[in-house]
Amino acid sequence: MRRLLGEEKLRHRELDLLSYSYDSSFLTQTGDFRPDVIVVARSAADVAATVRYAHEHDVPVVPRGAGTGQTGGAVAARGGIVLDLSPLNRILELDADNLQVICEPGVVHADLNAFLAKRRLFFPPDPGSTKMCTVGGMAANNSRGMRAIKYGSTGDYVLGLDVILPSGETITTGSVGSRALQSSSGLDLTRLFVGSEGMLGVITRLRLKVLPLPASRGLVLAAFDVLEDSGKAVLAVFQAGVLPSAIEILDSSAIKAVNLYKPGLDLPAAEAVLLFELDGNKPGVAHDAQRVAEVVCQFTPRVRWADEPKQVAALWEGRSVVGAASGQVRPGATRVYAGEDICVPIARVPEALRGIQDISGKYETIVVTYGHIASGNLHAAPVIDMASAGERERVGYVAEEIHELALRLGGTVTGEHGVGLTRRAYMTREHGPALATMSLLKNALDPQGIMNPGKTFPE
Amino acid sequence: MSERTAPLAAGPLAAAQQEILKCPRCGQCRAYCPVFGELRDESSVARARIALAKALLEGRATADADARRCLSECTLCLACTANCPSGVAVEQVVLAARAELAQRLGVGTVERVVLGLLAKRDDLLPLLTFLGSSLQRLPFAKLPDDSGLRLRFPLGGLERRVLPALARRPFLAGSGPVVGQGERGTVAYFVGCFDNYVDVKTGRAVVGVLTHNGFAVALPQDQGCCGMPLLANGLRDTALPRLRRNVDALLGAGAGTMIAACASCGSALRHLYAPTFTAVGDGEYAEKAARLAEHVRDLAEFLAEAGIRRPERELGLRLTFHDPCHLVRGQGVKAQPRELLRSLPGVEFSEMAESDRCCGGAGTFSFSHYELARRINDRKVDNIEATGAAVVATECPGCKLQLNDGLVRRGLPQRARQVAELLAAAHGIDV
Repeated sequence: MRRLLGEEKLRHRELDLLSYSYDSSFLTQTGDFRPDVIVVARSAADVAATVRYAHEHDVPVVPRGAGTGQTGGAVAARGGIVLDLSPLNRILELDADNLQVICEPGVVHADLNAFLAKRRLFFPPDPGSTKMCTVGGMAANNSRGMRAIKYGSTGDYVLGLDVILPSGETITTGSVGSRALQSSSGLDLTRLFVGSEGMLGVITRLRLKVLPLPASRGLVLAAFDVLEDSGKAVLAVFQAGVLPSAIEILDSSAIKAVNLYKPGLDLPAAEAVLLFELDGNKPGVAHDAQRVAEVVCQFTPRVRWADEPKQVAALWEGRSVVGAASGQVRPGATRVYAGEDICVPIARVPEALRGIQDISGKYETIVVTYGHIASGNLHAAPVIDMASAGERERVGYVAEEIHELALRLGGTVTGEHGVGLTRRAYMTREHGPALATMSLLKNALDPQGIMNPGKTFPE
Repeated sequence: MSERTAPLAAGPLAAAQQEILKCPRCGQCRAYCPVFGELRDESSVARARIALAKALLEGRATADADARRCLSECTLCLACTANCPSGVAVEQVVLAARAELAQRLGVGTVERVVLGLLAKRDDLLPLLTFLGSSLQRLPFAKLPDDSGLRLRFPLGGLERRVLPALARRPFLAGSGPVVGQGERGTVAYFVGCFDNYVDVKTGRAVVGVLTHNGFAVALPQDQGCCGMPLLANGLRDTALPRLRRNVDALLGAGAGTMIAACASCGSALRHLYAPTFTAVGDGEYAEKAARLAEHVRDLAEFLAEAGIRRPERELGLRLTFHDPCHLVRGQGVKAQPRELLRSLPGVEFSEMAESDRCCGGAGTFSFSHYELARRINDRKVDNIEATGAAVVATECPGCKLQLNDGLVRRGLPQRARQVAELLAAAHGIDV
């Protein structure tokens, strides 16, 4: 590898192996996932050379962006090479006339949108980890974020990819040299690689669709005394013909967490708070915000709306700090990422929230829950004392029961974070015979099983 | 030299266990760490330092030169702490880990001698300062302006480094116990090493501005180094006696407010002393330090709140302000220096981009990691230049030194000045 890449791109000292042995999953905090070596890629050629080496020597390769995932997807489950793609962070070309941008996988999501915003454009998927996650990681996990209900997933914006296959060969998906915004030509390999969590190849270049940046944003905040009414209000808004850009829910645990963390925000005491975000041109936003407020008033009198940027920011702050707040509801404890990403049918969100509260009570573990109610995607945040072996053990059961709850309600164990190591156990139950087809595809592309082994498929 | 041990039950790192365990490795620090911003290597970011500390604590990592490098490559700028969703006090972990490594591996000779002098034999410093002041004229060339000296010959890691002239006589050596009449009360001034042994004009400016505005200034003679350079280099035990003397000197000064014009000194007095005493089980001084902390104020913070007399002189300057990390995040002071500066006659204030991003100074960091500090500073200098300001004001002598180094190195005419110097000029106080 030294001969192929040069010593300066290799990391193999004890400290390096430790530094690449985690992501933000609870699992990687409690196990040892050190690779044998790290390759810090500086070019697609480095990536190709690394994969060819792995192919020739039958060594596992784990692609990694910023390592902000929550599933252990970017750590070495079976040793081998971790391929750090975060230095590949160039925005190669903005083709504004054709609403697309070409970039490398290590570009940080927030940096891309800061670049695009200067041209009144944006890349709509909006993960909570925007400041540090990379677009390559987003594509590999098919990330979504708060605005998925209106704008969809990362996969909806990936027009084409350069992928280095496990054999070391490079292919371009989405038609070679194409700048078309859509295509029905051939099998959709782009969609195959999106969400494949590094198990089929390594993405080295992305062609992404971008959209005009909405000029205005409005917000409606509503507090509900009865949790189930929040679900009814969401459906009523849809039935009224309004499609918000985001609808976020904080349950009573999250409201309490926010008020403890930032008492000045003074979120109303309630079983649930909903935040509806509207975007578009200013008159349209004002109209839609008023309409949402009218509809929601059928279920609760406690409704406020705003379309002035400062007021919008003030109303939104409760949602923006809930992630931080959840970790601080209990002094000395920490929020862990386990059972954190279920997605259930929209109509069953209140049922899921009550179920999570029951699980929280059963295991005497604080769980703060919030999420994207419009798509049924809930983020449960268990808060534990990491020094307590009992609590570390109990949180495993909490996560297991939350996943079981999602499947029981007709949902999925992951709405946007992926499977990685942490949710392999549910794949057979969730996919049935389709899992075998996934395995066939994996084996066809990676017969040696060198690409990110140990992930997604149950052992 | 390295040491791998069984899990630690005691020692500096064990005391930081709770903070260490709070980090879920979410990686938000990647967006804020100025060191990671330059090196782009996972082992150079806060969560890696926490992971290392945890592994050291659990006996899963070796205390060796790599571990020392990882922990030393932190400017203690608090940006990760301020933006940590899990509320991890990263700097506490880094300081504890450095203290742990210092115990297990020892510290370098230069650090041990120089920092040991600051802590234990500051009675020798006036003489050494005098000798240094005389001798530094030989190998150092003076710059065309008064911002400092440049090394004439390459010397260790200090090549081309802008250094200020040492004072012939420490600031405190020429001062009485109390200066001024004080119709508005008495404050105690914690001078700090830099303004005591190097930039005595700033020390005089602080006293001049305070007395001009009606405050008597007590200058406790037994004060010394705030201890930050020692704590930052893992020399906690060496620092403790000096810290205790500072606490006693300030509490015994008979003043209601303790003023610091150095952000790092102020931040240490407010937020590091009490936890440090607590960590070593010194309850008496932990209580005293907590009491002291309530009365410590930054100079600009204090004057903005107390109000100043209308300055007589027009400065005729375009100014910008660099927020020292230990002021904006360490003490939560941001608006006050700006208010003061904007109120000065003839000042046009121009805000710089990323005003609160670390300049790379970080006390001894800019000497031990000069190249890295220079890279961090380059971004700051770009932001200063973009404002068109002639002067960048700041509230930390370490930042001032680092900013001037960057400005001189790039051949730019702008210079850094402390708020006290500008206030003194506006009040017509000759220092």
